[in-house]
Amino acid sequence: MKLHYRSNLSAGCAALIAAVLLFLITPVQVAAEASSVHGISSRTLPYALSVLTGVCGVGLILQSLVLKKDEVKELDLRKEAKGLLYMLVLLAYGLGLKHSFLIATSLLGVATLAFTKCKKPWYYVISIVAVAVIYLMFTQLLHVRLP
Amino acid sequence: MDVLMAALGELFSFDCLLFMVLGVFIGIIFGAIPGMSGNLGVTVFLPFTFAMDTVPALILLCGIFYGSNFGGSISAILINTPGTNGACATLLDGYPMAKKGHPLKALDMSLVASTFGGLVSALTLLFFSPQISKVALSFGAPEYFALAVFGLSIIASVSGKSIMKGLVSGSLGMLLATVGIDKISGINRFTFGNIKMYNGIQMIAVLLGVYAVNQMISRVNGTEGGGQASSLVGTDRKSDRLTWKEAVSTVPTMAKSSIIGSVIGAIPGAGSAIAAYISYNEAKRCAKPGEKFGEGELKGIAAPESGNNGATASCLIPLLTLGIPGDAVAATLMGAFTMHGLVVGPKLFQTSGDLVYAIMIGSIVAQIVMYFQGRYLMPVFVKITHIPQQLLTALLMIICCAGAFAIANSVFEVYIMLIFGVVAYFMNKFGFPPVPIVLGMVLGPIAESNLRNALTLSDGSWMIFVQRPICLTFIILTVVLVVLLKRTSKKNAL
Repeated sequence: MKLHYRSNLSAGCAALIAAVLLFLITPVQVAAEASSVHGISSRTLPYALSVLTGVCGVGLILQSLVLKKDEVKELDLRKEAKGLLYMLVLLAYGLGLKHSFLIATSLLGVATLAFTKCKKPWYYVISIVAVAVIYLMFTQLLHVRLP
Repeated sequence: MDVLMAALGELFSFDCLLFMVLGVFIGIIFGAIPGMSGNLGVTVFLPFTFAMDTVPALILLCGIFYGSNFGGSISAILINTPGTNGACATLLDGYPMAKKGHPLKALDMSLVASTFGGLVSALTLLFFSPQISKVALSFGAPEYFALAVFGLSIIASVSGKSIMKGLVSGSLGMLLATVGIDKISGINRFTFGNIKMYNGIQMIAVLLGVYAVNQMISRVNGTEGGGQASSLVGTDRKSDRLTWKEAVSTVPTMAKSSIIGSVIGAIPGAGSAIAAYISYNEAKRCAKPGEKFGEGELKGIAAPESGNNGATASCLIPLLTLGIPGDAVAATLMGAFTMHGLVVGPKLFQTSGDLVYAIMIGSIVAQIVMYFQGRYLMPVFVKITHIPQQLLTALLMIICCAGAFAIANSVFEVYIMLIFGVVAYFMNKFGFPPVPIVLGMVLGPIAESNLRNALTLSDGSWMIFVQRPICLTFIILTVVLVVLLKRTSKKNAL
C-alpha cells in the first residue's frame, strides 16, 4: 500500500505544530529570570526559534496551497512498517544496553543483518566477533568502562 | 639561531620521528571512526606520554590531532558519516563523488587539501603567531556574534531546494544547543528534570544519529542504499586517482580556504567546523559555470578540507602565545604541556624556546608525514567500500553505538544518537536538510551568549555591532553573501 503526500504542505504543518509545542513548553522548561540583559533572557532564543519555525511553517503551507509550489512524494507503507519495526529494535537495544553492551550490541548487529534479509551465516559471525573485538578494545586498550 | 638549531636537533631524532608517524596514524584511525574524535585520541594517549621525553610526547599528541582532522573526511566520503565535526562539510561533495564511483579521487582530493591546509596552518603558527594572536585577542563579544551570524548565513547555501526547510532544521540545531545550564543566567533549559541533560547534548552524538543511524534505518527498510555499494565496488583504481591537472586547478580554492581556516583557527572558540563551512561557502560562491557543488565537485572537497585542517595548527597560536586554549583539543593539549613542565603563555618562548620551535616545525613535518601515510594507506581505506552493504550496515551500527558510548562513558549519549537517528529519518521524509542542524548546534550558542554579552557591554545599544570595524566587516560580508547566494540560486533555477 502506498501513501501520497505533499512535501511542503506536510513539512509546513509539522513545523507549525513543532513551533506551537516549543512556544508552549518554553515557559515550563525555562524558568523566568529575575533580571534580563536588556530585554534578552534565557527564554528569548527559544521563543525566537519557535516564531522562526512557525513563520517558516506558514510559509511552506502558503507555498504549497497558494503558490502551488510543491512536490508529491510517495510512502511505501510496507517499507515504512519495516523501518518502524527496526526503530522498536533500537528501543529494545536502548533498554538492553544498560545491562550488557556485549549482549545487547551483538543482538543489534544480528537484528540489523536479519532486517536486511542477510542469508550468509558468516556475516552474523563477523558481526558478533566485531562486537567482541570492540568490547575488548574499549575495555582493555582505551580503558572505557562499558556496561 | 641557536634556539632554532637546538629545536631541529630535538625534532630530528629517531624517537621524535617515530612518535610523529605513530601519532598521525593513530589520529587518522581515530578521526575515521565515527564518534571517536581527535580529542578522544589525545586524551586516551595522554597517560602513555608521562614517561616520555617532552618533545616526542607532544609531537605524538599533536600528530594525533592533525591526523584525526584528515581521518574525519574518510568516513564522510565513504559512508556519508563525518568522523569529526570538522568533516561535516566534506560529505556535501565527498559522498556524492564516491557514489559516482570515484571514492579514491575524493579521498585523494581530501588528502591533498588537508595537507595543503595543514601546511599553511603550521607555517602560520611558525611565522605569524604574535601578529595573529593580536588580531584574535581583539575579538570581543560583538565580533564573535557577528562571526556566528556570518556562519549561520551559510544555511542559505546548504538548504538544498528550500531555504525555509533549512531554517527549520537550523532552528532545531540551535534549540538543541540551548539544552542544559544557560552559561549566562545559570538557568536550566529543556532539561526535563533529567540530571544528564544539565551538561547539554553532545554534538557528536547528534551527528551520529542524524547521519549514521538515519541512514541505517533507510538501508534496513530498503528506501536507500541498494545501489550504492555496487557503484563503489565497480571503481577502476587507475582512472580513479586525482590527476596533477585536477590538483592544480584546485590550488586557488585550497589557498583561500587554508587562509580562512588559519585565521578562524586562531580565534578561540571558533573551531574547525566553522572554518570548513565558511571555506565551503566561499568556494561555492566563487563557483565557475559548470561546477556543480553538492553533486561531487572536487572544489567542494578541497575547500572544507583545507579550511578545517587550516584551523588545526593555528588553533595552537592563542594557546602557545597567550595561554588560551582555542578549542577542546587545545585545552587537552594545554594539560599535556603543563604535565610536561611547560607553562604556556607569553613567557613560553623565552623559557622553552627550543621545545616550542621543535613542536612548531614538527607541525610542518607532521603534515608531510600525513600526506605519505594517506597516500599509501588510501587503498586500504577504500577497501571499506568493498565490504558488502549488509555487513557494512551492521558493523557501522555497532561502531556507532560503541562510539556514542565512548563520548562521555555514558548510555545517555547512545540514547541521544538513537533518538536523533529516528528524528532525522522523519525529517528526511519531509525534506528537511540535515546540515543546518549541525550549523545551528555549532553557531547557535556562540551567537546567543555573545549577543547577550555584547548588549551588556554596550548598555543595551545595538549600535555596538556597527561601530566596531571587524564586526561591521562581518555584517557586510553576511549581507553580501546572502544576496549573492540568492542570486546564484535564482540563476540555477532558471
